[in-house]
Amino acid sequence: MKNNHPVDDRKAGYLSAAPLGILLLLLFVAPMLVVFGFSFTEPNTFRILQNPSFKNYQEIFQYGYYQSLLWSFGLSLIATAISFALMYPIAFGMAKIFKRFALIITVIIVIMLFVAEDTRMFGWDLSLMRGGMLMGPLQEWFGLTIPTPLNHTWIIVFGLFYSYSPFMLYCTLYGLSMVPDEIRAAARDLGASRARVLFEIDLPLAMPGIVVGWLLTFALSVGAIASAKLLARQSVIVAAQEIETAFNYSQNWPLGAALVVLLVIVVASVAFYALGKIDLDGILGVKK
Amino acid sequence: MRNLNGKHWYLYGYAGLYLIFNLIPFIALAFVSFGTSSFVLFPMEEFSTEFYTQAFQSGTIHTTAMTSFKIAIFVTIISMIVGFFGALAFARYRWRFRSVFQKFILLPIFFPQAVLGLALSLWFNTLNIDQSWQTAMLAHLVWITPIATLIAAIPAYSFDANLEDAAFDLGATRFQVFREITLPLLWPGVVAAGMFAFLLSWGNFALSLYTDGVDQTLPQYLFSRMTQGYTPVVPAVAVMAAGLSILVIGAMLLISWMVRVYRQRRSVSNLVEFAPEAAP
Repeated sequence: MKNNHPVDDRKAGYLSAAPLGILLLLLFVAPMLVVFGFSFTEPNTFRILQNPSFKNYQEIFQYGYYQSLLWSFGLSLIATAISFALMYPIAFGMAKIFKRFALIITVIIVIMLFVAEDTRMFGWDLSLMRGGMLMGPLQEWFGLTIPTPLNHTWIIVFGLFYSYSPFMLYCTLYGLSMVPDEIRAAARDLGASRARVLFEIDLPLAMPGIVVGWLLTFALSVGAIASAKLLARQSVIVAAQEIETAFNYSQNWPLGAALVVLLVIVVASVAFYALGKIDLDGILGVKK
Repeated sequence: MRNLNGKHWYLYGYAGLYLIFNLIPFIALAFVSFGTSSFVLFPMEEFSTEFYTQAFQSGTIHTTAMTSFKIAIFVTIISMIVGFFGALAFARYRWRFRSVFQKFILLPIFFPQAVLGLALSLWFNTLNIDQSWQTAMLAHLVWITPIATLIAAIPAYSFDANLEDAAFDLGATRFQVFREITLPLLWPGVVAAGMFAFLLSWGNFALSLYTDGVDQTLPQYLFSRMTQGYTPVVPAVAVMAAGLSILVIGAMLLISWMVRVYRQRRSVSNLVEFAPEAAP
């Protein structure tokens, strides 16, 4: 008789983790270390091996580069909160009420997500510009002259909401689909108000999905560049753009690297904090 | 018991509004792509397919579309292989660093893509690697393989390890078990992961922006023409690129539907074979 467990779980675990692990070590961890190293070199230099210097970080605070980081964090946080508030009812409908309609929504949104983000943003540009698809007919047919919302700071929040609210929608939906209907029905039968069901059953039980939704929407928004560039036409400089400028136009890699390090520290600490709170096996392995 | 699923027409209406909101930019792109001039002015008076013809004849568009396609094909194949094994490590095997691994592979997904691209470009520079479509493909992999792994991990969770053990007990070799049990059970997840990998790579803009050197991907070419030198060729190509995505998703839905029907038929025919009186 052969051994009952010829597959050694531990060995198999290391082996099957190896391809992805090596790929990420070479193409994710190593580049991050290089960026980290560059952030401590003299400004406007291109060699990583030299005496460490904190000049880049000083410059960031001295010349106000940090403002673009603050703009990005602030606008992203607002866009994330708005996404959650506006997407929750739809996620609820898709999880508990809609049947066929939920599938239709999914198919349409998934199709749209696979069209390049900048292209979709350009579609908004064409709609909102003066004489555009939304503004032109209003002017021509109704004589309404509405100033175009483009080129304002707040249009960035609009663009972020447009681009990333589907991620919030699906994460919240995933969370809500983990809430058993029996518990909700039982609470209602026992006389709980709708608000109580929301705050004491739906939100706590859907929390893993909601946390991932906030995290994903925030992280994507912080790194976004298309909405600021195409819709707001650089009325504020967001972080990703400041970093791009430092690397490409100013050719100041150390400054760009230092900005990346600051951005990453914030995003990574938010991510680690949030991911530490949830159980991934519970989310992905859930059986309905 | 109270009825929890009442009429809720307002929720339907609200969700419908959100869908319309999402469609607006596509409608604008479609309108403009049939325009006659490079000057955008609504309401439009004349329509033509002139810019579609131009798009088909443009050499740059052929080249950039081929670059995007090449990258997407390689990303798909590599993501399927890496995602398959990654999913086993993520969900199937109990090993020491499993929870660390699970969190570690999520980090690139949460990472700003443009910044990831810049960091990689700095890294390639440090290694003295010339940037081309191959380096852009590597950049896509950093973001896409973790997502492929997550998608492939979902069926790996419901994997019944006893099936493997049973096959070993019956004398199957390690390779036979892999080919006859492990791979077929995880295959649907791997195929889904591959489809997603293709679509994510095909539409990606931010990752290739700083990593493809002399080569240019289609989304990148479109972006450069949006910001300067705009002609309706841009929306025409965008509409066609979106069309390809829709075809791929349509194929995906069709395949998953056919697999379901096939399985149902097969389970019914098995039933007929073993217990004819119980078949419907």
